[in-house]
Amino acid sequence: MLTLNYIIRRLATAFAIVIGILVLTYILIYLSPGNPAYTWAGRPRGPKAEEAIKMAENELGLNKPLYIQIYIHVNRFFSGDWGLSLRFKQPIIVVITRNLIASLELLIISFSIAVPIGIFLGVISALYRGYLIDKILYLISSLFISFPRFWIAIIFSVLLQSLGINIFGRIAPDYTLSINYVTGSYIIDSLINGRIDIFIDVLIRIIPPSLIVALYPTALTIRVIRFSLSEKLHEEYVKQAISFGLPRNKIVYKYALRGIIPAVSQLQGITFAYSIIDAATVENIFNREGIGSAIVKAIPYNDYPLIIGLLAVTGILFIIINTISDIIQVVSDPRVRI
Amino acid sequence: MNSYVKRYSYRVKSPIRVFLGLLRFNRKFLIGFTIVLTISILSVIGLISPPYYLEGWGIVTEDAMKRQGLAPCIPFNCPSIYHLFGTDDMGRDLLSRILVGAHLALIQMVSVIITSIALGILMGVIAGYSNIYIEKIFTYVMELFIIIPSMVLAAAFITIIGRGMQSVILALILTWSPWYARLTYILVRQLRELDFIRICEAMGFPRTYIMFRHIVPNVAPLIFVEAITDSSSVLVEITSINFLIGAASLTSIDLPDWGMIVGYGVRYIRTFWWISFFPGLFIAVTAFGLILLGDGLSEYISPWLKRRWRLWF
Amino acid sequence: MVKEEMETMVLNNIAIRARNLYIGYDEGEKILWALNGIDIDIPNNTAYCIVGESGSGKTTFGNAVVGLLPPYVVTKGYLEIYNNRVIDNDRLNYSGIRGDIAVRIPQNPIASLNPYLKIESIFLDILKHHFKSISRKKAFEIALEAIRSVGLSDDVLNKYPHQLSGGMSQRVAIALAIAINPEIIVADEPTSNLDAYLKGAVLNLLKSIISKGKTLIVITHDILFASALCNFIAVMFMGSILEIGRAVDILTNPLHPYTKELIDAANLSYTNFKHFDNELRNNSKGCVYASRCPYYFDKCIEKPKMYYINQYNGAACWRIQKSL
Repeated sequence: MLTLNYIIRRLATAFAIVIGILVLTYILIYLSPGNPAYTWAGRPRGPKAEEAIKMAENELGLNKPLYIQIYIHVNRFFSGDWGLSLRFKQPIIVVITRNLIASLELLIISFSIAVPIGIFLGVISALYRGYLIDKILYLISSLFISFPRFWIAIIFSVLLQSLGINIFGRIAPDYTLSINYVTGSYIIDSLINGRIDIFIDVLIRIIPPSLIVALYPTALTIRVIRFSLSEKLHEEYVKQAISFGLPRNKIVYKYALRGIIPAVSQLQGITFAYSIIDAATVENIFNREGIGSAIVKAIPYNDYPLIIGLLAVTGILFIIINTISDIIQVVSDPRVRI
Repeated sequence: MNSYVKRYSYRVKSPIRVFLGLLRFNRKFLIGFTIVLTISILSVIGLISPPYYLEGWGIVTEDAMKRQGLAPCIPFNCPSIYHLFGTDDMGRDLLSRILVGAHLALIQMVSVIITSIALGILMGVIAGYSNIYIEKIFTYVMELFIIIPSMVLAAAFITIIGRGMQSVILALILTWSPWYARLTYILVRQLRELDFIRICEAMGFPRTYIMFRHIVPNVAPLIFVEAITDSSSVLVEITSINFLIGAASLTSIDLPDWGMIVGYGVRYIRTFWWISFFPGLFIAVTAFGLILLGDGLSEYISPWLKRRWRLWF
Repeated sequence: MVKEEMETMVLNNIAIRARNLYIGYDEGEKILWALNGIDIDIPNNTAYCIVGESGSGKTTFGNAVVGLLPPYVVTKGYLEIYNNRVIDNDRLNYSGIRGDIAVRIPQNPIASLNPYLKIESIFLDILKHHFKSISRKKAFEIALEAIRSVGLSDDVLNKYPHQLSGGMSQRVAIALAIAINPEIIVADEPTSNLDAYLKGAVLNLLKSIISKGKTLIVITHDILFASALCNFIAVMFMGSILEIGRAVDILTNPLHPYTKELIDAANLSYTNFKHFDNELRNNSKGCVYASRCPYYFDKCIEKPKMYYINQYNGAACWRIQKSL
């Protein structure tokens, strides 16, 4: 029962953090130098500037006291009215959903490549520590962490272009109108529609970017598993299991590896948040849609409502991921549970 | 008895001897340190006197306009020895821009890391010694700021404050210092259980004395070594954000940060590929040197990791 | 009752034999020798105690018997278990030993149980490996029997290791060892972490193990505990065996000065306990005890061999040879 208690408390904290993010976004608006309405309206210049600023003032409710402003702001987010994007001229919620699903697709596929490979190579690295295979894996993981992913993406895309393979965009242009969008994720939609050729096309286009985004999580997982597993293999219970004659695989996987699940899951939770930057740059280079391209298009237009909306949404997404990883940590260790 | 005494006596080494010992025996430290030293020297050159000073900072001079788009010095086909990496589309010499970018990268990275460590250790130590309510608030705020992605925060700051290094640095400080604060907080909680701290508390020493005289010197080296290993990720993060800004800018950029040059050069990738290639190469090498440096130091602190070990059962 | 019967048994079968055994740990720059030339014969069906202070190499010997030597170990000489050469100069071959012939009872019982599994899962793992194919029900029965024989209640099987106290987990560890039914059991300081009442309980348990006809090697620093439990005692100091003999003889008539010191310290009669610190000119080749010996004389520069005064008892000291 302690587990359930902990989960409920954790969910309550997560919800409180979500509210905190929304309050924070509003404080950012409020604290911007100059007139907040000026920033909210996107720093307009020209003839219609005054009108735009007045509209923004009304939207933000600047004439009311601060806590009422925050209350209005938070309410608006929960009711789904996030304002209009200045750059895309569409409701922000539509823009963000479209881009968010694209980025999530990329991130989920990257992590499903990165985590198994990372665990596999990390276990090898820990079991043969100090030998040649470990030194090679250490070198590879250090290279993956230090090489900027956007640079690798550029080289990769040039390579693919010179080979004649065209993998830009999320989907080939002639297919765009042939399927109805249910979820917004091309992979799922093409399967729902039954069009296998579109599915294969989308899949081919998503593999190079996801390989590049997967570099950083793989390298970090290898490093963390190498360190933690080496420590775990020296613990008393592993030695006792050896003395009882248990087979090697069982000791490594059921005894030692079980102990590092909390560390690995916490790492994945944090790395997911960091990888959004890699995903953004890679999306830009491969000309896909996503959070990165949304930001890139928003900055020159000073599209502040869109940026604030993105901040809130990514924050909420990462809170969910972190809460899940926290719950996994607690559930997997009986010492905390009971 | 005498053999026991000889086996267990230590001599405290001075920092210089430790450093020289590391250089001699620890190969990772040696390679990492040489790389970082080279980049630092290059950045000093870039600050003081790069080959083409004005062009390095982004100003398009008249000479520059004459040689727009010069290719870099390929062996056996070197057009001009003075433009080792060629020039970009506006004719500015790429080598000078890279050298100036070196010092910008180092300044950005060092300011982020040092401020984050300082703020983080301060907040972590204070939180470790406060009552339960402040601790709850502390963990809440730390988690809030760790969750927020640095890129979107940087974009928000750019819109508010305006373009420039300050927004990116501010966003990164706000994202990284809670990470170090959380690490120090965990370490402080562990240290408080140790006897020597308990003795101090029981003897009634003031809290600030315990915090700054006993806890911080124990926490700071570990955090510092971790920060050096993290600094390569910070460098890649800074340059990635700048890459996006450079890719988004509609006009030619002036500030020659490495990431921005790469971002700006993406649109010329088919023709002038060297604009994007060489700054990225420098980022890669610098980050690699930093991570080797950090790993060498952490090997020195925890030497049992170096021992060779294979699955023997 | 048990001791007299043991002594009249024919002690022909030698379970463990070691000749000139050197075991050291490779620290990189130098090698740390834990065992310096051990010659020992441990017969079958006896309770053999190895007594020594910390750093004397007794844990290394216990690990060598069970097969827990780490990969950076350096060995010389040979060690045989039931006529299989387990350590042969620098080759180690423990196939068939771990878990089948020799099992260890750990010093720190709570840390030695997998914290992520229930006790019954640990039993199942071990029994499944030992019996190659065994049904869950049968394994459960064996586990229940083992748990009951150490005096614990049945619901221990359903708990996690961190829910057990120190004494309970030590008894669970002994139950695990009993369930496998090995020939040799090495108990590594079984009572160091326990209080006096639990010491007595574990003592009784170990005695009942002996009565089942196994070879029990107990490693301890407490010579009185050793004398209460074992037939034979070997006293070790800094990697060499200084005295071997039957427990009764050693307690009543210790030959080696170090043994005398241990008995005096255990009996808390400190009047005879003085600390010596002799000057040595050449201490690497001589008697290992020379720096603390009150009877140090010039012959002690040479390392003494084990000198037997009767069939069971012997000491490694020049003084014995001189006086007899």
